[in-house]
Amino acid sequence: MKLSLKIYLFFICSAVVIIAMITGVTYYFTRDLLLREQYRSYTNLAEFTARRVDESIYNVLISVRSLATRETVEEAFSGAFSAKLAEIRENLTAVKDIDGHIEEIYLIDLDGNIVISTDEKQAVNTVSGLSVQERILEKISSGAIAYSDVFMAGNTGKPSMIVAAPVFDRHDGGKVLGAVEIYLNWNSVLEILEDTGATFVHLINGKGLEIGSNEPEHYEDILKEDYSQREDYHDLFESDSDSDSINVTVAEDLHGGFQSIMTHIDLKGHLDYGGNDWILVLEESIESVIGAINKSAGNVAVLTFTAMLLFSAVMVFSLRKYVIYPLAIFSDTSRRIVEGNKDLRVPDWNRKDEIGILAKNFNYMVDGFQSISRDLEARVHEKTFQLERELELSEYKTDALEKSRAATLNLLEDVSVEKERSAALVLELNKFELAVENAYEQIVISDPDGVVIYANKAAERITGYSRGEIIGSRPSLWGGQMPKEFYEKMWKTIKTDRKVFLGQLRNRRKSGEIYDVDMQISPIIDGAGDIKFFVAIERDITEQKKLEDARTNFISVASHQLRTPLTSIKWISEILMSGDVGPVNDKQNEFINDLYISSNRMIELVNSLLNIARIESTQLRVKAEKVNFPDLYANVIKEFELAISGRRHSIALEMGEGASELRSDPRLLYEILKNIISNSIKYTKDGGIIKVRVEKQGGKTVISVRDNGIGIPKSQQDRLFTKFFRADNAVKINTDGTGLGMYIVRNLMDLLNGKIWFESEEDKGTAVFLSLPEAGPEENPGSKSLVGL
Amino acid sequence: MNGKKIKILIVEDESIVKAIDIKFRNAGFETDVARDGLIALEKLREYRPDMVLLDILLPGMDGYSVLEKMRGDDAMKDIPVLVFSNFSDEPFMDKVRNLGVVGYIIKAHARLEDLVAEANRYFDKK
Repeated sequence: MKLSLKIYLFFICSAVVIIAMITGVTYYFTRDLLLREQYRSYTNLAEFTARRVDESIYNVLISVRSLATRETVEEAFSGAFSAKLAEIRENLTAVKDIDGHIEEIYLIDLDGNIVISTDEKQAVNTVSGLSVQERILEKISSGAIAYSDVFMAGNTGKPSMIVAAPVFDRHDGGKVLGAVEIYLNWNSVLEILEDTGATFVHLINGKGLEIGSNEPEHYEDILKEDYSQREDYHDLFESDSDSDSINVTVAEDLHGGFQSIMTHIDLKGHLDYGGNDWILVLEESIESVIGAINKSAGNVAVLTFTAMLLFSAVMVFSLRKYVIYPLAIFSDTSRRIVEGNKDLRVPDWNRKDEIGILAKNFNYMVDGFQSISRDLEARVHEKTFQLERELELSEYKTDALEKSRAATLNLLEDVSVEKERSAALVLELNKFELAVENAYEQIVISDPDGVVIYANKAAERITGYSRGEIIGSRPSLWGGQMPKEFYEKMWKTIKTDRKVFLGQLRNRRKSGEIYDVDMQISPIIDGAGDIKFFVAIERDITEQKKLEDARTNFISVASHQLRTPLTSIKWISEILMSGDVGPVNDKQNEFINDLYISSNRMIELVNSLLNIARIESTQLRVKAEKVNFPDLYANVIKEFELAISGRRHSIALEMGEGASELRSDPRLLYEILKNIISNSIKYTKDGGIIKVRVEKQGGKTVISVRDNGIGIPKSQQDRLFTKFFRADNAVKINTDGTGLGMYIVRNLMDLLNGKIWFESEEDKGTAVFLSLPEAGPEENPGSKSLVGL
Repeated sequence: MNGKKIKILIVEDESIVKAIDIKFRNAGFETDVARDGLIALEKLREYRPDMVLLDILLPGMDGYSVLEKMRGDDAMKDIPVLVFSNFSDEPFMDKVRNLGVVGYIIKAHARLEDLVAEANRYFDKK
């Protein structure tokens, strides 16, 4: 079940229960309230009606008392003239006519004789014998106000009530003369009952007889309907006789037939009128009352229900808009992303609440997953490609035999050949991988920041670290043994200059052993010109270095040990020839001189070998200094002065403009020039011409040494710079050359970053050219210098 | 040279020392010879030469150590030293030169005459 559906269901169920409860409670309370209100209004009506009935009787009482105190009324009892009596009767009639409550007025003496009456037709002169009258006169005679219950008056034939007041003797205040009696106009009371507006109104006297109702058609029932015969009479009317109570009950109505609300009140009267135990009953059909109340309460309930329903609708709408709709979007978007719409994202609806945050984080997570998935895809691609390649390769291998067998019959031979060729290419690539992996040299590939991403087997052997340790770390894992400047220069070369760095350095194996390597780092630059990798190839030269050190040591010692006895021979020949130890004859002197020359040649040879060893060991010190060429030249010539003059050669220096100064290593340049000039002197017949020229050519210094000597045979020219080479024609005229001079010169020119070449023709002469760069050589702080200087 | 001969101590273990000795004496110097470094130090104290001709590779104590000892001893530190040897490593030669010597002669490249001339040049200058 969908979450949204669950939420809706939950909400709707809750809403139904809550609405039902609220509607029910509202209905119940409204109904109760209205009922109470209705009861109260009946109570008020009953009270009001009772009071009106009371008041109407009380008003009559006032009138009676007022009449009783009239002088003329007193005079009527104390023997007035008949004319006077007629006047009095007229007055009374006027009073009767004014007051609607008064039916008739009688003046009656204590014997019950009518003195005056407003009823002309009533010719009765006495009312004695009537029980009602007797009781009234009894009360009157004691000087008190008197009134009767309702009775059917014989004189009027109507229900009526008598209210009477005593008339006192004016001269004797205590003596009662008679009574003023007023017969109440009962209709005026019935009118009050009719005025109530209630469905049924009954006035019941203390004996249970009906004395009035609001139904004119029931007049004949007055004083006939006797409720005291009813079984429920006491329950209905005698609930509380002491207090002026008003009871509201629901009961069978007085005439039966329907349920009614009954309100009854005991009339107690006020002031002199003490009341007469009457009961006023108001009846209302319960159907009409309760029905109306129920209808009203129902209306309120319906209204409440509608309002609640509307409110719920608004709530559902809000829920949908702010919660369910975004959830649906989330669900839908995530589903579509999973299905492949990777660029889909959810909107954040500009919301800062949890949904907004969720949306933002959701998008962020999708971005993250996407990049991870891209990465994975790339890897899968790569792996798939590798697999396909391997698959092709294996297919190729199995196919190969079949193919070669079928080749002769295969009409599509060309296609097959083409296929084989590409398969072979794959095989080639595989070979490269194998070659790198199994190379004896350590090959390490790092990213542009120097973090190792590949290392071959040899890296484990040489550094002592496993590939797990090497990959992901930096070469400083096994390096860091050189001064800081070395590494700074290295990084500058490969990263800033993007050139290959070559050098020897000292590293440290995992075991702590220090070792030497020959290193080469190449930056690999992609099409965009960015550095992709660095490939570092290191060769462990520790053993080689040890050998070299041993050789260098050997050379040092050997040069000393060889030169020491040679020095002895040289110096002893010298002292013999000098005569310091006595005279020698000419023949002896000649041999000793040979000895002296030979020892010098031996020393030269040892020096040459020593120099070659030093050049080859790369330990030769190379400096870049300002060199004054004419001075250097002069020093060289000084060394050959005797030889030049002995051979009658002429030697000259020609200086090109601005060519006298250059930047180079003076010692090495001296050795180079010395060797070349020495050759010219040796291999030019006596009286030869040697020309040395220096000039600047396109930022370079070009030195040429030209002679008109024996030259170098064409066939042997390509061997001039090889070790121990001596040209055939040279050997003929001079047997003591070592064949090392030009080899040394060529190597020294390399160290000076210069170039050397020559032009020569046999018997014509030789010209040697040296070209030196303006910037001078790269300095090398080696520990050795050339010997022989 | 106001009659008094200049005294030179030749420190050299090889047989060639005899030829050197003769050459210097014939050139008018007074000489003494020490055939190893330790003897050289003794003779420096006793003989008190005006100059020492000092080889480097010596038995007992090498020439460089002798030179160091001399430079650390108030009695000997002012005696001029002319080093002569076939040992020709540049850094070593620099080290020797830094201790203050009259010269560093590579034997194989020099004649006996050159040794005498070098000594004379020093005393003439003085």
